Amino acid sequence: MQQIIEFFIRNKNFLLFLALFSLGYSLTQKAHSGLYTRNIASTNKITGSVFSWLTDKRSYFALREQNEELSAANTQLLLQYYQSKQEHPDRSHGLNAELLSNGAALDSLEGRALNIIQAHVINNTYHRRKNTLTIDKGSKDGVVPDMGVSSPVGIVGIITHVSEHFSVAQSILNTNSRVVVKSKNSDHFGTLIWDGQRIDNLLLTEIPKIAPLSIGDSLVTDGKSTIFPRGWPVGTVTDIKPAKAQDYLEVSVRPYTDMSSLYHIYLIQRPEAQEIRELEILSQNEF
Amino acid sequence: MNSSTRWLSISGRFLVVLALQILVMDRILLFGFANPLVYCYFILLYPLSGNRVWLIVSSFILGLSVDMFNDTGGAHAAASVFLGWIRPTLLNFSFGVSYQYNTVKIANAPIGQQIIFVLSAVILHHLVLFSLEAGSWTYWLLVLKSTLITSLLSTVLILTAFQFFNRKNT
Repeated sequence: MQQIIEFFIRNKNFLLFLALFSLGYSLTQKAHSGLYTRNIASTNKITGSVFSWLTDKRSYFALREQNEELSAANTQLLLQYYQSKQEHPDRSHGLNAELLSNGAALDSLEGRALNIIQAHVINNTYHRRKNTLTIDKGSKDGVVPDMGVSSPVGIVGIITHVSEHFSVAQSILNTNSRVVVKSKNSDHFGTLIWDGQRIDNLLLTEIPKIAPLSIGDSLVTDGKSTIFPRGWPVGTVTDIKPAKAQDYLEVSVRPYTDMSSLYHIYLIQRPEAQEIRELEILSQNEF
Repeated sequence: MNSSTRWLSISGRFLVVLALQILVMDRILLFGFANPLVYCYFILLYPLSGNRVWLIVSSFILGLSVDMFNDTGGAHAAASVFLGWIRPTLLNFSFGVSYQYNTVKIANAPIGQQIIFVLSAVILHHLVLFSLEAGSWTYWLLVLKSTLITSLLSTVLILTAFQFFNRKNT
């Protein structure tokens, strides 16, 4: 017994190190599997308020850049609005304009209203393999997990964790990120992933060779994933190579959004997402 | 220095280093991936005659605080606790056994010994950190690349801080 106690006293530094190292390691593993607790994520009160304070101070200096981006987004929306007005002169007057002014926009193809919440990024990482964004809106403002996150110009990520006042999104610059996208001109779709290398280069995989893609093509979301509506902008094709697997292509994509400079964002929810998911679960149980 | 002022100066350094890391260094990204980590400064400059148990515990808390602001789970905490634990070995390796008799002051030692000490400590810390953060062997090349470049960056910053702030005390 005495020997055991002596052993502990003699090795107390090593045992302490071992215990704390294992604790750190297990927290890291939890973070990798996406199950990390609210205490360690930046949605907690202390870190959230520090980031809010910091963002307040910093946003002042970025005003010019942000304004330019917003006005560019405005111009594009106006263009889209007038285009749709020309295509469907009867529909775009009453309902569409009314919804737009109420803060809801129309799903471009199905014509159903989307829930859109305006928010700001208060912490943005882009130099790790598994990057996240912290957002200044939480469950109190109606944010729920699996909402899509988009900048004024294109998709940015997906909400994974929500607390009362803040939420955390998985960035598209995350090696776990999977978004189904398609070419604007055809319905061939593939999965958009990130290889953890450059922040301006995503990879489109699992897209068949037969798809009519060329460099400079625009990519949009496919609408199959229930997170983003169909036709939401993603990025442009910068390079096309044959993939290792036969009959498939490996396509390099430059996202429209500059992932290192994010502030104004939109959280998007398809109102029918819940219904689609329930239906899919039901059908999986049947077979 | 009596024990209460010493305790105050250690906790003051802890807070300054943490604030510098979160508010300034985590916003810097050189060459697209190198993010200097200066908070190791606290662990390296913890008093040589100080309690080792407290060094290990405070390294863990410092690392965990950086983790909280970075959403990295416990990667910084594990790497820091590793550095806190292995520090005596590195001191022995860089300055010889004489450091144990309180005759060495890190910031006044020959610059060559300082570089060996800081560089070896920072490389070990970063290697553990980036390996844990990557989470799989698939990214080993990227881990090595980040470790090398970030280590050089952190070492230069920490050595500069040594020259500025610790000529007299420690």
